[in-house]
Amino acid sequence: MRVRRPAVATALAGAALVAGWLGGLFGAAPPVYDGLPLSAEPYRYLQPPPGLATTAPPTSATKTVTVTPQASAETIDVSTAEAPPQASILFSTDGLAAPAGTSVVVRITPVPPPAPPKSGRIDGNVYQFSASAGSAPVGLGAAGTVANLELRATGAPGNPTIERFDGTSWRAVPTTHVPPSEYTTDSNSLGDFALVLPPGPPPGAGGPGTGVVAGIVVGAVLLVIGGLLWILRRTRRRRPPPAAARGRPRR
Amino acid sequence: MTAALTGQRGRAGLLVAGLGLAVAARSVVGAADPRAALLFAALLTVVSWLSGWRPARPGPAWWGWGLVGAAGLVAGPLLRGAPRWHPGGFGGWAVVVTAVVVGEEVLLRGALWQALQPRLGVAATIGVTAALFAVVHLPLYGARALPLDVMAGVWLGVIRWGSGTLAAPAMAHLLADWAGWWLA
Repeated sequence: MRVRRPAVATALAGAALVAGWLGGLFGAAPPVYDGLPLSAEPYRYLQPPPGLATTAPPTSATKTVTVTPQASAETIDVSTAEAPPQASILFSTDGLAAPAGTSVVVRITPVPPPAPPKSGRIDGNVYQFSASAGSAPVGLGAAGTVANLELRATGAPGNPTIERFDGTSWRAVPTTHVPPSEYTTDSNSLGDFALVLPPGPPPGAGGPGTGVVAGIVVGAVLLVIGGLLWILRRTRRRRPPPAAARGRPRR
Repeated sequence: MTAALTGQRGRAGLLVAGLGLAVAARSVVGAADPRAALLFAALLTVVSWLSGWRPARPGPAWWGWGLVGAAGLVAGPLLRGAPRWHPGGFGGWAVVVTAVVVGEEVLLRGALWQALQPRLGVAATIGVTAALFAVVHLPLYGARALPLDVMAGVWLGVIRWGSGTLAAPAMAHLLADWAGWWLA
């Protein structure tokens, strides 16, 4: 029985790992387990800024999915083809506003900016996230249904925020930075999204980035915990043994 | 000094403190910088050596466990999407990755495993090393990668336990990282 325990544990842990991936628990987290980033290809612009070297054109992405009931829902990842992708969307097949069994085409397309944002300048391309069944547009489903959208920054200094174009103007949405260069948001609607950099010199330019601060904090916490553990163990070692352990008391 | 560092008591504390020092040093130099990654790997290996850890000859089935471990780490990304090619030079990147993998595995599932497992048992040792594995990756990947790194840490811990040797999770970790060139 003891011989089988590692095999059972291996099967369980492996199943949990794969289920986490397929269930979307890990999002678009990078599957390199050593903390070293892959080299990124230069950002591909739809409309390159003046003076910038021409790159290959940005790619679009399309995937056809079948809407499912919640019980048989799958997580779908659609990403553009750059390395790493410049835009991606993660959603559940029960999260689309169409009857189960409907075939829906989900698209990510780089598009020209519909209007300049008031809060700054667009960093990279505007990406249109859309879904359609035939010619009819399909949105996200019931209230609370969200899709996870991710955009890659160009590497320009500053802390960009994802903004969504609502038909008349750009509006900022809650944004999470995924180091080193991805930004993500959970959105309950599709449409045009872009990263927007604040105007003027970037705040904190030249200062430490979030990754550096996080590294120093994590390192300091581990250093303190480790140091305390070490001191504790060394102190216990030097404590004299109890009287009973030293032998019989003297008369 | 060496005797104090290599004593059985306090080894775990020394190793955790050394891990913290290495993480902080890497972040100051630049977490994504290959030179920082090499410094990180060297610090982890030196701390492990100072703690008294020494390499041992792996058992006969270690490579089988290593292959199973690598398959588990890459299965999810493979099932989710088609592999893609990354630009740039694989060779230099792979050398740095190898050094970091060796440093991480030697400290976490080598020296720290040896220090903790007799006192805490297998389950708790897998838990502690998985938690540290995840925390170490926070500065570069952010909190969003924590669930994946915790699960990967547990998986590598189970492979370490099942194989009885550090070589198996190290091989799994290394092959999965190399595969990341096509999967990330």
